[in-house]
Amino acid sequence: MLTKRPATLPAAPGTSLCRSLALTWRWWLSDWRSGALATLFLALAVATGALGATTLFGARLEAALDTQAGEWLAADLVLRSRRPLPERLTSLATQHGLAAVSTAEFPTVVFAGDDSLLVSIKAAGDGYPLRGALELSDLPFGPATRTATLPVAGTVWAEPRVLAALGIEPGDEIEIGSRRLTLGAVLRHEPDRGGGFYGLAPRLLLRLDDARAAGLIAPDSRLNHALLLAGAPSDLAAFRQAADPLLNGDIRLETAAEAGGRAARALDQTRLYLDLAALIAVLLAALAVWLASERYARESQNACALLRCLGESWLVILRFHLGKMVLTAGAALVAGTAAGYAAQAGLAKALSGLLAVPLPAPGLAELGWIAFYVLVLTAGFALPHLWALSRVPPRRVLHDSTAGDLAFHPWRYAPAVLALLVLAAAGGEPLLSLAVLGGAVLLIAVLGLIARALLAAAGRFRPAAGGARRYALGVLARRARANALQAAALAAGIAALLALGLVRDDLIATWRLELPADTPNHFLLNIQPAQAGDLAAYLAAAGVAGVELEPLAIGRITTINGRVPDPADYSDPLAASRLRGTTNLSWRAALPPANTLTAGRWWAAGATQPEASIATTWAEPMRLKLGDVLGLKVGDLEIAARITSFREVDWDSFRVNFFIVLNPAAAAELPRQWITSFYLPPTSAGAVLNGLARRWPNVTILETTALLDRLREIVAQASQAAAIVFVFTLAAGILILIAALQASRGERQREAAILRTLGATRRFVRQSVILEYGLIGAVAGLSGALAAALAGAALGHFWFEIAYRPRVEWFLLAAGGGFAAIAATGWLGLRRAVGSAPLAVLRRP
Amino acid sequence: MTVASRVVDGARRDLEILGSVDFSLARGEAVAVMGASGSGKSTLLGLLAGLDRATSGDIILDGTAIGALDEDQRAALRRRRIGFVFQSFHLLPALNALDNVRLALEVAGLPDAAGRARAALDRVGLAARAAHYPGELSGGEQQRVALARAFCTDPLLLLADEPTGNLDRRTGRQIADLMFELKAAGGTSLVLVTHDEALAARCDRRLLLEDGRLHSC
Repeated sequence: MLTKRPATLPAAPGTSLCRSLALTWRWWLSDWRSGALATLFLALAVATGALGATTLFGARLEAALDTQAGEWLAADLVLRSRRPLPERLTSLATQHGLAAVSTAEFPTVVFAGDDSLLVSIKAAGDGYPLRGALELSDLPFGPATRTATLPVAGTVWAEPRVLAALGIEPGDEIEIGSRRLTLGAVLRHEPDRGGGFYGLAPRLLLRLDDARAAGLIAPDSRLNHALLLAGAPSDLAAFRQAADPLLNGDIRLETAAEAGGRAARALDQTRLYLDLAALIAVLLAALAVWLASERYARESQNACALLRCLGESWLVILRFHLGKMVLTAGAALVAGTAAGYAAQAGLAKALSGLLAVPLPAPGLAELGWIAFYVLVLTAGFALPHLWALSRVPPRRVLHDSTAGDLAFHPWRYAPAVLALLVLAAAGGEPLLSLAVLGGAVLLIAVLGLIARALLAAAGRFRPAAGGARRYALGVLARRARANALQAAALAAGIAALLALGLVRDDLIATWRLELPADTPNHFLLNIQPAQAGDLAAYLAAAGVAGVELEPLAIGRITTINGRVPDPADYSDPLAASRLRGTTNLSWRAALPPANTLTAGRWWAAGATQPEASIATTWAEPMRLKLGDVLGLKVGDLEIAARITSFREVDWDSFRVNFFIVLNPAAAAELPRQWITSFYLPPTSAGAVLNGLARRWPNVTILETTALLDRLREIVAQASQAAAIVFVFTLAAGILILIAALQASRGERQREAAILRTLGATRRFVRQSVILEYGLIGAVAGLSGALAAALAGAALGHFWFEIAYRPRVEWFLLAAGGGFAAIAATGWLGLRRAVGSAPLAVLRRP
Repeated sequence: MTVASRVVDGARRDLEILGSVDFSLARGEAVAVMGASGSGKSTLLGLLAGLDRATSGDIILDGTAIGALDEDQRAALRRRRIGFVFQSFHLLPALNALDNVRLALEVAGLPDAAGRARAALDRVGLAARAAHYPGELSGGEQQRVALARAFCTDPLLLLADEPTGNLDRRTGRQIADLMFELKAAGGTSLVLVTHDEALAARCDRRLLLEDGRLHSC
């Protein structure tokens, strides 16, 4: 009689967790000693090393770039207010381990003998500037030196204009408030100068104590007060959180990113690029884990079938292999992290002379992240294979087959997708991470299908005869599925690296394009109409090329569409202040350089009716539309101009730009002065500017050389950082791709041995290996380049805001390079096996 | 064949696998080599096929001294004159039955490889399964394909390493019948390594490999 068996058998006494852990450890040690885990270990170690090196180096570069970005603020964070900032904020900053310095800016009139001049004073506390440096010189336009200190007590530093206007030189005295202070040096550059160029009074820098002693700062005087802060990013973040309740509407918080303009954008893009490189290292590591664990599972099938035949449950087998995988990953983590650490330390040392900013030491937190990444990757990307492995049918022991793929169901990819989601959520830029990693999954699926179709098609073109070629194409077609997976993985790797390279090239090109060598580095303001002709001739005689004088009028908005606007009607304080204050305007026949029309049309040559073109950033807060009529009063003259276009203005172009531009006919009668910008090489600048200042003392000279130099330096640093990280990721990628190719080496070694037993020459074997691997490489390269073009376009458009240009030569290079690289790598991997006795290969279990 | 010996560099010490081995084989003759596991039978077969090199001595096949040939010359010798049948078949999993046979013909550089391969499969009774891949064939069928592959180039010498070792008795007998039938038809010499007394009995001579030495039995 049959008795009903229980649904689940009671656990055998030995299947306790302890026993299975002991068994896992024992088998792992034995496998380890036998070298069976060598490939898996190597792949994981290379992946960890690559990931570790990229992440660690990227984090160090990013920290260094953060310090550099701070130079535009002379701090990492600035709190600004029209009233004195509460003392509580300074003590809070000190409590959070931040360096803090107070400054105050205000206009005042200074005297030297009988001359007086309206200047813009900056009074700063000890420690200013917290980031960056001041530039000084002994002569108004002489060679400059950098310093990070303040003038000594009782002295001031002043811009060249002050010296020219007051007729003084270093060592002379200036009356400021109730005190007489000595001019110590000429101030050529201050890191946080910023601001617009017009109506800008020349700068005079002194100590806060001296300003107080001179009676310039009364307790409740309405000055531009600022508290400059600098420190570690974590301390800054903690301070921001703690200070939040203390910030009222009067206090404005400014970060380096907001202050830096173009340089901040370059640094931001570099940071984004570093994030992207780190993500790509994660992706490459994931591919390596996927391919290595796939090979491990394939090779362990027979042993697993045997275990299942002996009655072991699939769950125990899964646990057992997962345990082995985790132990291997642990060992790889130690070795890989050590190698990655050494690699990035070596790189940092090698580059220490090249990088202007010292790289901060790598943090322990990054090491923790690397461990987290590798374990999540191993779990997610190995689990699908181990799952399939644990479900190997026991009947396999009866029908030994060295081929045979593991059964796979789409939902078994879930752990890999989950792992990517976890990593995306943990990454610095979640949206970018999600897009890159999600895009990569989609990409691999699509590339897999493309590669499969291409490889199957290759099989159809098998020649009727021709030995090695026929054989290689036949094998390719037959193994289309497995080969397609390998090709897709390779293609994804190639695509990731290509996209990284393409974006880098375009970024650097964009940065360089934006700052050509002849970018204007000097501005002349306040040129009177009677002086314009002589001044232009003077500059031309001095060899200054392309000087174009632009008319400038200072006006006031009187009406909009015939009605007097009430500042109270505008919610935007910017609009209200514009309506109350004055506005610079100009006129010209053609659209100014560095401007693009966003709406409407530019006026026709000879248009007689008054027309106006408005910068979008000016028009938006004022709620202006095309067709509105703007009433402007310049001096005693009033005009009404219809808005016929809006312009996007590149304010970072270092050219003269205006919010309001009129057509020449509209401005024919307006009172005017002239303004110009031009490039002067540093060698001739001193003589030209000194002569100019002596002959036309009323003309204001603004120097932006130091600003431009800093900007160029930052762009060079950013380019360098991007280039270094790219080369690093590329090297890591190549290592991982080589490891990936090793995955199918055993199978191909066996085939080579059979071929040789049949009497095939080494040439035949070499040809077939090169053709097979080469075609996989070409398919991977071609589809990788296609994917890179799409990915590059998406990254350029959505994240880096650059116009990405795909290039045909990249496709050819990728296909050719893929063929050569993969064929060479494949052949190198098999060369020894082909050279050794075939019987030895065939005897292997 | 005159003298052959093989010393393998072991992990800890050198091992002598084959001592002084000396025997000759006439055209069309079948010799069974028997011996305990690990006695060096497969090594002997490898040496005969030029898959392995002897540390001393030489093998003369049809007047050619194998020891004097380099790797590619030995491969050229194998191509037309030697066929091989393995215990574990060693078919290429990526090729179907027809292409597995055809590959040997192509490697040998024979014309009409496809037609000859089809005819060879027909001779082993597998014409209907020409398009099947090794994974889709039974053990007996895979060994038939291996036989077709071995005989399709009309070799002088067939080296068989436990050709029935992985098969059930009935299938094993069928494979052995087929092998002897093909051998007889082609006038091929046969060196058969086996543990199977009955199979050995079908050969003209039986040799026993013991302690690296070959004896008649």
